[in-house]
Amino acid sequence: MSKRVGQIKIEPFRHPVSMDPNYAEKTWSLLENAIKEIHNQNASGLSFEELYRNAYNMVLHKYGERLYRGLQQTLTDQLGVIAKKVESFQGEPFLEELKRRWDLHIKSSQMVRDILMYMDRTFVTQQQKTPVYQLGLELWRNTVVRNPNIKDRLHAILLDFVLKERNGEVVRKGLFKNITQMLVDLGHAVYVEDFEVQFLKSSSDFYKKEAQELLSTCSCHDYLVKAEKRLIEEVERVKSYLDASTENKVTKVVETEMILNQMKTLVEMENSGLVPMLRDDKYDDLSRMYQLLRRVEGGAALIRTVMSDHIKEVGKQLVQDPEKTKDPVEYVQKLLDERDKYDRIVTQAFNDDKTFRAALNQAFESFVNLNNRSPEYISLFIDDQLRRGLKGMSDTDVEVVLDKVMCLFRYLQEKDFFEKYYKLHLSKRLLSGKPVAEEAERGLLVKLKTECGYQFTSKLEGMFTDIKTSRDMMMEFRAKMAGQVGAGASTSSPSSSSAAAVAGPSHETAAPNIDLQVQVLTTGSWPTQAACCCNLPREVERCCEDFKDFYLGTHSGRKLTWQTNMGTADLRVEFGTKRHELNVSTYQMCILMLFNDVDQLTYREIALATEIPAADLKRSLQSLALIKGKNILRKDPQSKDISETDIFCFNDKFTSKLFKVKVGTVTAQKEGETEKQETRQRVEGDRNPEIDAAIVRIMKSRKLLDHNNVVTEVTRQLASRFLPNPAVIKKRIESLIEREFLERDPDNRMMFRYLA
Amino acid sequence: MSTYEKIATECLKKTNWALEPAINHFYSSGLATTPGASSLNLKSIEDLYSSYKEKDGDTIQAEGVVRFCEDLDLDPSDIVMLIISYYMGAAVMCEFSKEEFTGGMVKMGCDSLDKLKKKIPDLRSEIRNEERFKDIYAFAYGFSCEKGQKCIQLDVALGMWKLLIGETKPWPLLEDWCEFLLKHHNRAISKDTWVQLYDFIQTIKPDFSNFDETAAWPYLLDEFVDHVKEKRGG
Repeated sequence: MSKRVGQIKIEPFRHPVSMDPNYAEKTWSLLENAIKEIHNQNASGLSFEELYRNAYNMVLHKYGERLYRGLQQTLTDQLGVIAKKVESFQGEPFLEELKRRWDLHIKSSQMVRDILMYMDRTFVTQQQKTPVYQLGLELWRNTVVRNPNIKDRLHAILLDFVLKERNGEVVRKGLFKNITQMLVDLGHAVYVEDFEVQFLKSSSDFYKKEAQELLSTCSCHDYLVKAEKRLIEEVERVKSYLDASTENKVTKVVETEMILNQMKTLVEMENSGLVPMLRDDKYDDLSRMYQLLRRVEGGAALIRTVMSDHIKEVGKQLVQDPEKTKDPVEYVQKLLDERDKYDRIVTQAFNDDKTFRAALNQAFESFVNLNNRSPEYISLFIDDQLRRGLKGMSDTDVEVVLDKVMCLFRYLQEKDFFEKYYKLHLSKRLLSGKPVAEEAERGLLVKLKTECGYQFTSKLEGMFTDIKTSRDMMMEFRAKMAGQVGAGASTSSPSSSSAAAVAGPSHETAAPNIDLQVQVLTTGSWPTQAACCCNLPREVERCCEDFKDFYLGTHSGRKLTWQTNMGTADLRVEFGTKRHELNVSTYQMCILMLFNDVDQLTYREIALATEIPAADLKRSLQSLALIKGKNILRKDPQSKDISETDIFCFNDKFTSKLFKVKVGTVTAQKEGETEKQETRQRVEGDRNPEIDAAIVRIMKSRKLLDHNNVVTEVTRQLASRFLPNPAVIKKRIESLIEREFLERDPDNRMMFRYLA
Repeated sequence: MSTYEKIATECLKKTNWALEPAINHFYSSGLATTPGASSLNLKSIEDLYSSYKEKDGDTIQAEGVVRFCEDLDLDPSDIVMLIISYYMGAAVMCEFSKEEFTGGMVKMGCDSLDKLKKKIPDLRSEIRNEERFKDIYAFAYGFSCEKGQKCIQLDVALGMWKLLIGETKPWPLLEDWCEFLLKHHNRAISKDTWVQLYDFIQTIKPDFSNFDETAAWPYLLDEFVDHVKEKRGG
């Protein structure tokens, strides 16, 4: 009958399937047993599926807590047993057992984790408990590794290991590595806390001791070699059996103990420290020291300071030793050599370190200026090089030498002194009549200009220009005089604002065969000389007049003054039957020409006839009459000095192997004491206007400025010329106050105001 | 005529009845500032001046100055003379122009020798006043210059210092200073040095413990300090 179709519903099972607590316990003991077996390496007889299912069921039926607690307990117990077993071993077997047990534990933990995976994923996550595997590690750490009976022994053995290896014994690195690996696997923090901290401490103690021992027995070189080796060793050690994170830390320990704490003692070691290494150019040792000390703070600075002090010491002795400062050229050469030496050291041993090079320069600057003749000597050195030393050197060699000299030049504080001397020497070089190394001279001028600016070299360039102009002019003159002047001796001499020219006539003919060579010098550019005149022989006089007319014809409005103290002359002289060509100074020519007419003259007669200044006359006569082998005149009496009552006569018995004989040249020489004082006074006097100008410049722009700032600014502005003395600046300020350029502020003594 | 009218008339007469110059004269001659100036007899001041001035010229010269001092019972090198000169604004030593003399007398409030004599003790004590001393000191430099010069010679300076400082402001190093200058400097003294010496005496202790060599003292003072230190064996 289908009257009311009954609705058939299928409903879910309503009554909960709950686990019987008894059943849970039973399941648990099953699992517990399994875990025990696993830990006894008896897992083969177990069914993975069964265990997993059981664990799954427990968790499902809300017995996760029970499971977890049980797990904890069981593991702890198991591990306790294992710990006891490990404890019983000693020495290396101890480590081996520990390792063995650890490996097994890992395997066991993995298995347990696999079984209890469901719990891991659900219960553990929900309840935020430690996952099973992690739990296993932690329990291992707490129960085994940190077991009071194991912990300290473990440390002791490990550290002993390291000590043995450091002392050169062979140890089983593999075993060690396993243990450290275990610690790392337990967690990096475990590694650090349980091992690394002690390791670093014991390393520190070890190296402290080693440093002390080495210091007392080794030389610096040996010590450094050993230190280097140790550093490499430690890095190796870390690679072999420690965790990589230890590398930096242990390196730091070695550096601190062996280098940082000992570096001062090392560097200052008497016979093998830094100073002897520098002295003996021990590039390898220096390089090693540099590389090692660089690692620690203040290491490089220490080397730099000691090197700098040493250079200063050496330099000071060099510049103040009277022996070494006698010959200018040698002096400068020594300076250059020293500089080369240390330059090489910085390049090769100190890795071209900029700070070291700066220290080197500063050290040199400090002692080069201790000797106030340095500017003069450097100029003399250049003079010497340019006059003769450059023969045979290639262009690049020349460049190199001049560059080096420029380095020395840069160290000078009193550059204005250098300028004065350089001008003097250059003028002598240009006027000596000898060929000038034009390329090199010009090159040096360019370098000076780059260094000091246009103002420094403008006058010097003027000198070169004058020479060139004179050359051109001589060609014109000669062309004009062609036919009038025959071949004869040639002479040249300069004159200020004019040329000086002297010609030597042939001894034979009366008609003047004079080859005249004139250099016209512009007064401002050339070093000032007192104008001196003398009576020129009449033949020469005529020639000079001719030139003067010629010059003034083209350059009216100028004044020419003959500089008879700077010229030279070539004379053809007959001595009996022999003929020689003599190269003499203008003064000497005047003297000798007198003997054309007479054979004998007294000093007074010569003085009267030539009007040469007394000092020069005596000097000229000395080189004519008193030089052995070159006495063109005979002096009566034969005393060493020239006195006013001497009589001179022409020595026709003069002989010489050479046809051309040179008598007394006008080359650059080191100044005598009085001349040096004069020059110093003059240059220092020249400084005052420069300081005045600087002060006025500064005050004009600042209007109101205090004393100390004025001094600082002035010093800065003049640094490229010279180092002004603050006391001198003060005096100049007061002089300017008196001249009403400045005034003192009535309320503040320290302030100055510019008065327009 | 009231005294004010009298003064005004005097001033105008002097300047030929030109108003502006008269006003200027009034102020510059001290008539404006001196108390009791109105009661001064300007005529008698002028007469006084005339009694000392040169026969052919309008200034009092050395001879007149000497007589002036005698009449006052003063030694010409007495410091009061300097103070009187200061009031007169004298441009050079031993010479007073009419303006200077009359103006000075007015400023000092005296129209007769007697009054001036009575005033002398006051003047003498004025130098004790710090401000007044500073002015007088500064004045003394220009006053001591020779006519047309800008600097004073060393011996003049030394004399003036001994007078001014020795008598009124005892400075223990005065002897050393004079000795130092004679030995080492021997040239004229610049105005800057003169003026700064006063500051130096005021501020720097005799043992130089507060002397700062970077404090922009004139270089002569720097050298002096070094000299004394050396002498003391420091």
